[in-house]
Amino acid sequence: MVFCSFTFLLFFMPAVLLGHRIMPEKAKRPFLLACSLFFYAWGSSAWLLLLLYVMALDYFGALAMEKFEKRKKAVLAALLVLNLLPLIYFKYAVFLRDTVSVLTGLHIGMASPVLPAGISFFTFQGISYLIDVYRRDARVQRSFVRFGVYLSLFPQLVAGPIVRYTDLEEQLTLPAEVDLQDMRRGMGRFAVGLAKKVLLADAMGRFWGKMSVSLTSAGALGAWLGLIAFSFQIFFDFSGYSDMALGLGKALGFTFPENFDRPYRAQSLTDFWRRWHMTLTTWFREYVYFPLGGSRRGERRRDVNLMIVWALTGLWHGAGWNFILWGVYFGVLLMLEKRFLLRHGWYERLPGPLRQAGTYLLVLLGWGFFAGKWAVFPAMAGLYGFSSAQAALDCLSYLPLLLLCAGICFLPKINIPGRRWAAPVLMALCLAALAAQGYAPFVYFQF
Amino acid sequence: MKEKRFLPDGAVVYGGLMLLLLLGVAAFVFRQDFSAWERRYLAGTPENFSLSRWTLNDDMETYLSDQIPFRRQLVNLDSAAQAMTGRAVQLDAWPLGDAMVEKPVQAEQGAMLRRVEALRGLAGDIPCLFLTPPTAGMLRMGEMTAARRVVYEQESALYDFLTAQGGFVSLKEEFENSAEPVYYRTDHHWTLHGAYLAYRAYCRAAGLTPLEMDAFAVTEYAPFLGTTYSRSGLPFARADTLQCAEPLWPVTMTVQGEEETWDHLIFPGQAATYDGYAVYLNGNHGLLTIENPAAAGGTLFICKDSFANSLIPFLTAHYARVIAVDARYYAGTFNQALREAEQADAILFLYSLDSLANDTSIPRKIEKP
Repeated sequence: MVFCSFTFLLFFMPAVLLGHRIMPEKAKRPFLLACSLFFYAWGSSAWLLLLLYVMALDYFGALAMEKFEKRKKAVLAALLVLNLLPLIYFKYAVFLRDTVSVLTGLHIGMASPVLPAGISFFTFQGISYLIDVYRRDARVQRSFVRFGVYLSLFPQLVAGPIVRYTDLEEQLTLPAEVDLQDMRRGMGRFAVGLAKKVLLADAMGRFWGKMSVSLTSAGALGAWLGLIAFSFQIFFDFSGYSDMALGLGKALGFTFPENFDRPYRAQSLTDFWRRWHMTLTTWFREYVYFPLGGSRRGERRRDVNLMIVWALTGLWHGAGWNFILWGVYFGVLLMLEKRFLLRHGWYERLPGPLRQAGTYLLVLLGWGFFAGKWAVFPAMAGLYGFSSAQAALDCLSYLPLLLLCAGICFLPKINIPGRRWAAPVLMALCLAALAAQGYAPFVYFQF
Repeated sequence: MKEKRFLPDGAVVYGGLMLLLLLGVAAFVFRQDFSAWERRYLAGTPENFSLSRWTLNDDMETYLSDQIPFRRQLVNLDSAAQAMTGRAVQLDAWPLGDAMVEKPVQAEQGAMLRRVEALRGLAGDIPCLFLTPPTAGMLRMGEMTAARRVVYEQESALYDFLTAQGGFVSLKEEFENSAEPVYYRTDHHWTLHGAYLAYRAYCRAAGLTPLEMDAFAVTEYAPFLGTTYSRSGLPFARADTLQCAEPLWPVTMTVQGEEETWDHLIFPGQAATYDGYAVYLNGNHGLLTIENPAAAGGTLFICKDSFANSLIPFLTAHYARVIAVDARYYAGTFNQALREAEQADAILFLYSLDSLANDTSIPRKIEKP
């Protein structure tokens, strides 16, 4: 089930929030677990078994680590392998098969599995729990229901934010009382997130779709504006989902970590990755970069570590060379930034807007790799001419919305009067857009 | 610290959630089969739905999207929001002044020419003419912004290319110089005046003498909100008045597959339905025959789309038999219909530019040699 579907908006969400509100204290957690499993099973009940497998594996695995204290390293290694196997099979098997076929010319007969929604997210959450327990950063959770709620809580189950166990450990043990004001705030944030997704991301996606379907006719104008629209689409899509997740979490009495902090206002790439998909960046820093040694073992080792982390980050986003290239692209740029750009004071003396524009430009080119539409680069370079008449008309018609998105992304936050009416108005506009245009699943579901 | 609010938190939380829930329940309680303003059947309840078969969620989404209460108002709101944020040209019909016009037709010249040649091959030795009206957008380019005008200029160039081919009757000049509107504001069809101008142009090309308008009984039906209005999704439009011309001489109309025979070509009862344009000939039919024994001419065979419906009453003045075939509804081929007609003295291919470019049923109705 996705948040921007009528099934969710008209039935699941109101029923769960009202049910959770009136449920006796003891029944709240089991109720949430049942609802989350129902949420995941809707549309793909077969994958429920996979989620239950990961849930049982990590729950009992942590207990085993506690029991076999002396051999907990071996237990953890086995658990990590068992956690990663389904992810590797479902997400990367086809990529590996195709790569081997291309390199060796061998034909490997293997069916292409369908990717279960959110597998990268709940697998990473499970791993974070195991490692935290192993490091004694967290205590073993003895209640299966509470652990199940942590791993499968529907607001963040399929597209994050990636909640580390230590972020939620205390909240899972506290009484599940929810203040009405928190519910109201949570619902307001949900409406804002839904609007980001339905009104902005989907519209930007339609525009990028129009331009990318024929970049020879889109020309330089269509390619530039199209890729900018794609950068807005992916931001509003994902940050919208995160807002909805945080809002729903709030309405259910949970506080999840923030996932975005106006990333296109970043003034360097290091800054950008502190603001974009913050929970994933934190996860890789905590569970990959630091264990590899981080920056403590000299510059050269730090650079190697950076490249490993960024190749993995690219691979996490998708099984394709374009994603790996995208990750390596950022790895190289971050390495250069740390070695040269940020080391000397001159970069800091440049005007802020210039640094912001330069950073955005590099991120934008990165989205070109991410999209995997290679023709966008020659089109942007003007090799296909300026633009066709139809593409120019489309660009012009989307210009006000592009400017609105740019204003939200690039300018400082402003206080808009009449914000108390924002949530109902946005909700009505979202229902209208969904009724008129149908719904589009989230971009980040594929990760 | 509690914030000062217009409504208490409880009212907002419980009221908002209950409202959403009520909308969902109402989608099942007040189910509708047909949406008159959209001119389409709505999705029915997902079949074999059960909680153990959760793969039906796409069907459920389609159902809820179609059956949500206030759907029309929601679609209106979305279209208005799109228009207000500059995306009017992303709607299915484009607002222009007080009218809604169809999007410009885009097609490759060579592909269109091949289709025209295939139709011409169907006629063989029988004299044939092509009648394709210029589009409403093409005629109103002067009212458009430069960016919109450019795409209609391309459409106009396509039209000029097409009508420069032998056998085409160009209506561009006639329509451009008309003092009266030749297109409805809210519909993609030509007005009665537009159809009459086309009739006169056809007569000139076919060597016939057109009748004056007062040779027909003109009736009016209002309000008429047509296809471009419903396709735009916009809430407001200045309704049209539908005008029809009924021959003043006896005619009989028969429709293939129906037993009844009619002695009139205008069906006023249709004016109040969702498809007001069906007042002409009772709508579209696969194969239609109209006879006027008093006419001097023989048989006119027409391959047509709905534009012909308002023109055919004029043509009955000149032909003892008019046979009209609509590829979208006719089960056989054009060749078959022509053979069954036994004799045809003239053939008219009457298609809008859009049909000629995009109607995939037309080439399927032409038998390969």
